[in-house]
Amino acid sequence: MPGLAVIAGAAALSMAAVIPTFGFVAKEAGLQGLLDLEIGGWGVVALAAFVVGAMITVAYTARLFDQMFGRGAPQPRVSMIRMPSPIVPGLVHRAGPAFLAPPALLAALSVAFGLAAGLVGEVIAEVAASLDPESGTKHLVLWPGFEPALFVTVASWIVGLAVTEGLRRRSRGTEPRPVLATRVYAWCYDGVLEASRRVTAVSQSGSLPVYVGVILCTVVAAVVYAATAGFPTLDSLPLADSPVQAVLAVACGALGVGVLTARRRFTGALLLGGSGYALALVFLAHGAPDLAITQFLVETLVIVMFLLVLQHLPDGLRPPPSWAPRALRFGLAAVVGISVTVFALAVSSSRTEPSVGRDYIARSVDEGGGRNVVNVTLVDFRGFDTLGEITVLAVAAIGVVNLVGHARREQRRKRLADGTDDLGPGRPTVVDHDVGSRFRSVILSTTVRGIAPALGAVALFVAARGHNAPGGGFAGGLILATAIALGYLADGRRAFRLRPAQPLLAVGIGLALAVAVAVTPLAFGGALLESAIVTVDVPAVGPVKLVSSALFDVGVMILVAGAVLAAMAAFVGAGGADPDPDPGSTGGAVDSMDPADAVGEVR
Amino acid sequence: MSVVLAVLIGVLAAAGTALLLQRSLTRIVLGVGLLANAANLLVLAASARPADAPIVGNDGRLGDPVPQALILTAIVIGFALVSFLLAVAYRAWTISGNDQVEDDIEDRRLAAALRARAARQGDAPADPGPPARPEADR
Repeated sequence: MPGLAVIAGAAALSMAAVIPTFGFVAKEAGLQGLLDLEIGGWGVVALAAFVVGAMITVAYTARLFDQMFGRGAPQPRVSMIRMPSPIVPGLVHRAGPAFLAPPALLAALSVAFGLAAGLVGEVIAEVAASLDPESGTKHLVLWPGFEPALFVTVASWIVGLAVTEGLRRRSRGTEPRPVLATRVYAWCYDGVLEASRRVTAVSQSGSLPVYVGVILCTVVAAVVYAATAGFPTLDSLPLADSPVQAVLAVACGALGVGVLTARRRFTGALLLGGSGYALALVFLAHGAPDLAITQFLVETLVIVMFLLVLQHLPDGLRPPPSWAPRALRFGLAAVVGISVTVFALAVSSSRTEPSVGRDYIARSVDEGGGRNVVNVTLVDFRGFDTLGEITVLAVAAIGVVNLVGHARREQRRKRLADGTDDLGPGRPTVVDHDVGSRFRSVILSTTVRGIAPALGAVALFVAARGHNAPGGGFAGGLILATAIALGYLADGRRAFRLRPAQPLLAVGIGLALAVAVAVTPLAFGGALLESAIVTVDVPAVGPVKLVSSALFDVGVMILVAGAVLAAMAAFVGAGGADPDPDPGSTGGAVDSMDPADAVGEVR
Repeated sequence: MSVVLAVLIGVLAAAGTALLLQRSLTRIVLGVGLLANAANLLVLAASARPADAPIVGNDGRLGDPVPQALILTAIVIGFALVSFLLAVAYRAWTISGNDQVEDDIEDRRLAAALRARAARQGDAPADPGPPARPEADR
């Protein structure tokens, strides 16, 4: 390992402060500084510590190098017998260039900086002067001349080497004994392991509901504590902002509680969707059309997702063996509900500072180039948040595709091993394929075929107008995904050949576009995500204002559409319909996985 | 906020909690959906009274755009979470034939091993040997 030896040697020389490395320059400067001081009591202590430290550094560096490359280096056969060291030269493979490059760079720098100590010193002096103007007079030099500091350094070399040599002679031919530090380390290590075992045994019962229960109790405690800060007076609060709000709230709450009573998975999913739709209307009544649109689309897609997954699961939702008595569970739920209500009432009257939102509204048109402040906030003012959020979305999509893909392969292996290419008897699925075939009709197929492209156009329209009116990249992406999924459904059961990898590519493209838009201003001296606003005169249309953050929204749209489609394709492909176009492998089970059938059930 | 909305938030949170405390993953997913809705509504309702949409050019009092932007991303994240949990449920079903959350066997085994060790040491307090490592150490 001659290359490695040279690199390590250069680094070791710098570590031991041997001329002409930068380590030498630095240590000289440090010593010089200490010697120049008016030596007081602490000055002597510092100087002594510095010198002893330098000696020990020389000693261990020399020992390290000696053990690795010099006389102490493990010899092939002997070392195998003497100690089962992991470093057996015969087994060590040659380090590649990529492996050697980083240490080589650092070692070369330590030598180069040493040789060019004056230049480096000027830069450092400039920085130091900005902190402490008086330090500007000090400079780094490679050769300080025969000063006291030089003699101290040379003495530290000699003493350090002597210590190493002495240790080497003493330990020759004997087993390396465990020193105190090794024993202390082992003791601490065992102690930490033992303590963690005991803590785990006490604090972790292994039951998820118990953990969730503990977390919820903590939440309740925190919420109640927070609410005591400003307990609301109910007199000042209206019962309802409008009759519409009251009606919608009752509907939303009733459907939400209804989910609890659902005996079938599919019923539960539909009730959740209904509650979500009612909530979307509550948002709309509250003056948040963007939220209403997004909520509406998401609830729809959640139902679709449930449908796609539930066709693989038995429909019955029998209450599983419970971990705690019913009364305890529902009691805890009631406590959570009541404390959250009290908290909600308390926070609504506890604002002390005006919202930053006023400022956003005032600056939206001039700086963000859009009138819909929510969208401008998403793609401009708080665009960095959005960037992080769509990253999470991308990760979730990848996670879904891989989880389902892996499970599918495993299931397939199991079935092949059993010799049953079936889901097994007595497992009724949500979508019985006979029912599905009956519902799938030419009319549906034709209608969908006409709707899907129009829906795609709507998606682009919603995304494009989002900067000035309700809509935007999130809503556009969700609609686009629906349109594409519908297009696939129209072509029937064999046509959903969309592989999860394809939409995942769209996820990557969308994320790349968003990041590119975000960092482009940096190249022109702007801030991250700064918007450029250009007005273009289009013939026959008039002036059209183009905002760079609209491109960011396009990235969001592509990513959202890709993520939704990736998850859908994963769930549709799950269960047997292999992503490979292999018609011979489709058995009876495959038919029940058909997305067209799934739609048939919804209608 | 109005009392009706505060109560709605509480009801959704309670229903979501009740579902979350069960062992069926499907019910847990449903509970997460309800809890997410409750949290989103809480942020919106706490931020401002009903107002006009925060679009420049609308007359009247405009709503606060910041919570709306936060909730918009939260809705989409909630969707991602539900999809992911559904993938987990699907996976659990393909492996175990049901979608129930089982106890963590490793935790149970660790506790049992420590109990057994304590019992052994109680029988023979003079035993100078090193304590047996619990199996779960591996």
